[in-house]
Amino acid sequence: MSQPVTKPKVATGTISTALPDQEKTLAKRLHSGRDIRSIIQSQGLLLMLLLCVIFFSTQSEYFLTLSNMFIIITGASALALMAFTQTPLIISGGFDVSVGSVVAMSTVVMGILLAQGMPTAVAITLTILMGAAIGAINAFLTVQLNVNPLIATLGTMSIFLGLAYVLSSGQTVVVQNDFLNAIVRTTVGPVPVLVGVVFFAFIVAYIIQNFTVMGRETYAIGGNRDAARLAGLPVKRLPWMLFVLSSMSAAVAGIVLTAQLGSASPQVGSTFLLSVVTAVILGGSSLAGGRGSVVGTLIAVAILGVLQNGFAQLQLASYFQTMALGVALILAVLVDQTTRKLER
Amino acid sequence: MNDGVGMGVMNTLLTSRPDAVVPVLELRGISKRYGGVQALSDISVSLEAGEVLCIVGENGAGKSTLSAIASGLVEPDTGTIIVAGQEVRLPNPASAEALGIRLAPQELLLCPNLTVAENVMLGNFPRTRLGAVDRRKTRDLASQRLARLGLDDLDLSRRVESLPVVDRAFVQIARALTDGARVLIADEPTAPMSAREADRLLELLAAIRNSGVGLIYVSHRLDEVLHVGDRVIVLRDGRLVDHMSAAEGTRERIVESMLGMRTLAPIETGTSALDGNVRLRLTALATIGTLKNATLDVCAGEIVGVYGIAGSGRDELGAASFGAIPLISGKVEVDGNIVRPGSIKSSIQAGLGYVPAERRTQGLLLERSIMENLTLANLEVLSVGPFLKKSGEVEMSEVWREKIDIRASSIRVLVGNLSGGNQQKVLLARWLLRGSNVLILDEPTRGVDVGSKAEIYSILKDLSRVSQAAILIVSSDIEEVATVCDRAYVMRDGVIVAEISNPSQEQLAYEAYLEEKV
Repeated sequence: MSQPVTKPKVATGTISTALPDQEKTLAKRLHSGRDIRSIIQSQGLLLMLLLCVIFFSTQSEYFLTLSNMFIIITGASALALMAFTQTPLIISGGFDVSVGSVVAMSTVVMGILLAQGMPTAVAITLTILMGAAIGAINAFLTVQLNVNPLIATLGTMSIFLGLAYVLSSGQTVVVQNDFLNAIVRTTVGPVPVLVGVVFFAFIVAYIIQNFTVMGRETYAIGGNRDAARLAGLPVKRLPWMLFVLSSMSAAVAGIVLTAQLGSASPQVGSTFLLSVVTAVILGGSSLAGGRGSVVGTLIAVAILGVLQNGFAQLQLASYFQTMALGVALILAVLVDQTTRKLER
Repeated sequence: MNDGVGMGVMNTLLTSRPDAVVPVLELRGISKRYGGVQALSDISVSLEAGEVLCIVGENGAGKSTLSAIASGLVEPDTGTIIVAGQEVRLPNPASAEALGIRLAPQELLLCPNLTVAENVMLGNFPRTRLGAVDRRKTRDLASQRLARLGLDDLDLSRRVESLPVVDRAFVQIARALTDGARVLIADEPTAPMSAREADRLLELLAAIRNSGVGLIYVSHRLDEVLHVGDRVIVLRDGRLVDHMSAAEGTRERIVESMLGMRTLAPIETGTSALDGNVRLRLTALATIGTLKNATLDVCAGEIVGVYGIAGSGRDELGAASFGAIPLISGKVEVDGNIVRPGSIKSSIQAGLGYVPAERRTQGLLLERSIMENLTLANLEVLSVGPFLKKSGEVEMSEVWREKIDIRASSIRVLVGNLSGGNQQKVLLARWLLRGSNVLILDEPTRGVDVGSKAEIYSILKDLSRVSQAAILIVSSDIEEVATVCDRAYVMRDGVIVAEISNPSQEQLAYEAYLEEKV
């Protein structure tokens, strides 16, 4: 592997003796600056989460109970599953706003397949495959045909939301299925299975992002696509995979929602049209690609879950929640920008 | 040849001509410094109405700075600017424009999505009574202006993005030449053009000159300069080193002054048969762009250069042989194996490594660490199944940081914070770490300080001598090719025109600038 290149002994010592120290302090400063930034950024998010929790627990004594925590997590589980796959997609320089429509398709298709008397396992498999197919369409448009990902997925978003309404005639269908019920009801000790699923998904996403070749390649492709290409990285194959994964996770989220609601309705999808992307950006990922982390996404999802739950307990209209979300997003981006400026 | 003591005399000769008419533009004693670089020192030139003054010089000689000063983009540190006998200051482009000095910049500043007529009139749109843009009048005025330049055949309603390069340059010039134009500065307009397109542009410039406008023409192409110019000045390292009328000028004299050489002589170039074992062989490579035909060999233990001026196809050669841009014909062989054309992956597997000319945009992940940049092309080896072997990655990065002496406190430092020389070393080490030792390096020391330059050269020498690597350096730096390369190929107009063993700068310059086309 290694080659016998001897350390160059050129007579350049005099020219560059001043360099290392200078660069060392500079590098150290910048390096610690980066740490501070990531701390402020993640801590800033944590602080935001903490403030929300404190606020709501002063308003309702029920808020800060274990069972309510589980309700918050299961309530945000569909969002979390999608945000965990959207994060690497955005880091790689991609973008997918069609996930809400995939949720709508998924729940409608589940409803129809189960109503036809199809075995549960087959229905679930087919629904997830449908998600993969929509992801493949997104990937084909953006990666192969170079359509801007925002535009491509806005297009498929509209197409499949429409199709979900067409297939269901806009009707809500009651879904009674033992397996789906079990997903929602089963607990291990006090812990609902869905909570376990969310944390398992998080850990998988975390490991992929930090400990695998794929994770490294995701950052590289989003950071500098040309450089990644010239280093022989799969600049097409990887985004393909990430688009497909994003849609597949949305299909799974649709199944989870069907189970939670006990019914299939295309309207479910419209809740998620922008909230997934919002969660990822709130979590510190850069729309320009190359930066972000699934930890930030997890905290951002928690904030959104707490807001939803807290506002519901205060019996405030969900419109307030929508407004609070907007404020949180803008605040997060401002904090990120200022800390980056301070770094320089 | 003409620098040193003669300079003062020459400057006075240039600027004080009592019998001549008042020059339309005169620059006296202009100096400009950027940081540690003296871009221009004590330049004096004058331009008369109805003449073409050509400025030639190598990259970095100061041509662009001089035209920027004359057009108000940059203010000089010292020196005076005189327009039609009046001493003036040109603090911004608007002030120069008001005095009739117009610039047609190197990078065309057009709105590609607008039509020819709209671009010609940009910034001066005629208005209707309601304040909206008067489209008909825009067309009429644009058509008048184009007709005055003899450009009637341009389609006024065509979008600029769909025009060939030469027509875009026409539009740019038509826009620059509004009423009251006295001076037109054209900065390398023909660089991206084919010979035929360039001829059309030169015709236009001659017509403009004949209409009484003074022209400053910056170009690399010496034939054009001698053809269209009335007078020629030569810059080297920010100093005016030669001045001649086009009639007394020859390409030899210009090149000698440009490069600061004694004499240029053709030297027999058919070199000895190669005796090493060939590791990289390119056969008849051609691309859709400027590269027309390139055949060359690089042997084990050899550093080979490819030299040529801008637009000679030099840079495309490097990218095309690595599969980074598509080939329309030709083949690449590494150690006797044919590489799949246009496949970067296949090139890398064959043992090729490529360092692109633009290290920041094409080479590095600026926001990632030295380590991640070093191992980028080698992740499949540094992994177990899907998982990265982080300890192995750290170890290997430390080894190579040490070997190639990348100066930073740790391998975790972001690459964006390193000096140019250290960044270049990172890119080189990326391939060495992989064990690739057939390397194609495009401008390996561009923008790198002298010390790092010497270090990089010594690393390359070691690689070729000790490890029997085959190294192809693609470069516009004539000194680099002459000092580092065992053998060099010279490119012109997309074709390799010469092969020289132990090249000297004189030989390279002769082949790149002077020798007639084959």
